[in-house]
Amino acid sequence: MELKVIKDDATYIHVALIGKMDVAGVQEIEGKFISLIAASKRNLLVDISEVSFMGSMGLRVFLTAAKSLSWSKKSLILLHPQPMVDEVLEASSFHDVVVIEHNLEAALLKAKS
Amino acid sequence: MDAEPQRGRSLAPKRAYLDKAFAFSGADVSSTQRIRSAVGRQVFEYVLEKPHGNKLPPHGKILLVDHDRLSREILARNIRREGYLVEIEDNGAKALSLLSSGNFDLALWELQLPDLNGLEMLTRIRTDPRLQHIPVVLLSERQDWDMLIRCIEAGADDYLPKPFNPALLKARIRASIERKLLRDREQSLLSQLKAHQERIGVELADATSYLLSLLPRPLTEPFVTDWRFIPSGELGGDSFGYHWLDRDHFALYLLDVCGHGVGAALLSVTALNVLRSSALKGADFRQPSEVLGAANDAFPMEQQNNRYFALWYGVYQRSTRTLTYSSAGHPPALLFAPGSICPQKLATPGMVIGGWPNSPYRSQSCEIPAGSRLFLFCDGAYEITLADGRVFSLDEFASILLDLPAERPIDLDVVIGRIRQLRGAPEIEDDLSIISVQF
Repeated sequence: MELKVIKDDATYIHVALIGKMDVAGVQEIEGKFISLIAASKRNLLVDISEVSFMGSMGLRVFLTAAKSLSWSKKSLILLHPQPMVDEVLEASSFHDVVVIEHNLEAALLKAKS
Repeated sequence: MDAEPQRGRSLAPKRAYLDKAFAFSGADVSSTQRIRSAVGRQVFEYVLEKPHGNKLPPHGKILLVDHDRLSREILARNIRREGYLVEIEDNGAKALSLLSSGNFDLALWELQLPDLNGLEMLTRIRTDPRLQHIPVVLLSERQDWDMLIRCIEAGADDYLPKPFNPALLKARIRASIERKLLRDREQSLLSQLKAHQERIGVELADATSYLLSLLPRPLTEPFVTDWRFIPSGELGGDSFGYHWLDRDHFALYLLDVCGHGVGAALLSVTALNVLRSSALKGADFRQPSEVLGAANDAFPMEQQNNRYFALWYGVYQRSTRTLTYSSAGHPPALLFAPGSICPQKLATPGMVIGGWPNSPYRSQSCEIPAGSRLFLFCDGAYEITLADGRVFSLDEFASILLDLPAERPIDLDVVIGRIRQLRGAPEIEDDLSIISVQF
């Protein structure tokens, strides 16, 4: 699993996750992902269009991130989930606690707010 | 053990060797001079009787095998000066027997013993489990390169040409013994590790046995239930159960803690016991959404080592043939009505238990026609990566269930077999739990 930083802006961080968010995949990126959040109190925009699988450990990463950001009144924005991943997020009511966007412009607008 | 010196053998050719040996022994020059003026046996006796100066504590046990008594005794003497324990032998067969009975750290073995050549000796040592770990350094009086090479290929650790270079002799003995002691240490640690693993294995088996004891017995009336539970490791994060809440309400539930292993299993068992005993504050256990809400309050992930769980909880009311259910990040249960080719997916969107405080949960209800089949399972049942990298889908899993013969009792072993077949390996990479109910 890979984590790419696309943009590190004053108001938000834009990253992309690539691969399977299963136990092994999450182990590869979790530390870096969490440190991104800990390092700055900014909105976090995560492009997950290339995440092909979302397991329970992947959900845990996003839940932890969303909670941490919420304490700073900041948001986690997930961009472009694949249909299978979207199904998992929906089954877990993630739409209630994170922003899920399918449009980059709309996502950027929310990230910059 | 030690043979008498060979009669009539001249000691003259040994002088150069003795010079080096005495130099190695640390004997002073005057002593060495007096030794040289003496005849062979007196030389030998003098060396044996000379008190040790800086005697080091023994830190290795060496078997020295050499058929030449003088060579053997002088070498032994000088090795002992280095602090090693030395036993000596001149006969190959006896030496092998001695090697078997003692805890030796090194064998110094003459290449060409009268009764056993080096290659035969090595073959026996390296094929004997009791001896094969002992390093063997060959003592070679002749430059028999062909034999030496064959011996090293057969497992000799090193060789020392005669006459010995004292510094080389010390270095090779030290290096060989250090390797042996290091290997002994590794073996000791490995043994401790194995014992530790065995103990953990016993404890995990005990814990698994406890978890299995909590799982319900199959029912035969008023409907038929069955289940299979295959944890991915010794312990898994899945658990499930069903029981009568009262004479009319039957609760059925499956929970899946994120991750695997002991940590996941501990939370899983705790939550299972809470559900089994209907012990959630303020919840009516006939109302699934209330159960999920109360569980979410009781198990916030911050207080559960950052773990949460998915949960499906349903209540079947016998008098109305109604199933009311609610789920939290859990795959839907599949309901197959008689004659239907398309299952009804029973799930409600809901945050995983402990994931987010005050999350709302809602219940839904459906009718259960007589003859219906209900399957409740974890995501491990269908999240299977196929050989082509594609992930098996829920709909494809449903087709496996649909293929089960309607006229016969549900055979979950067929389902498990199909899952194993799809995985292409007997091992299950994720916990696998499945419950069936034939209404």
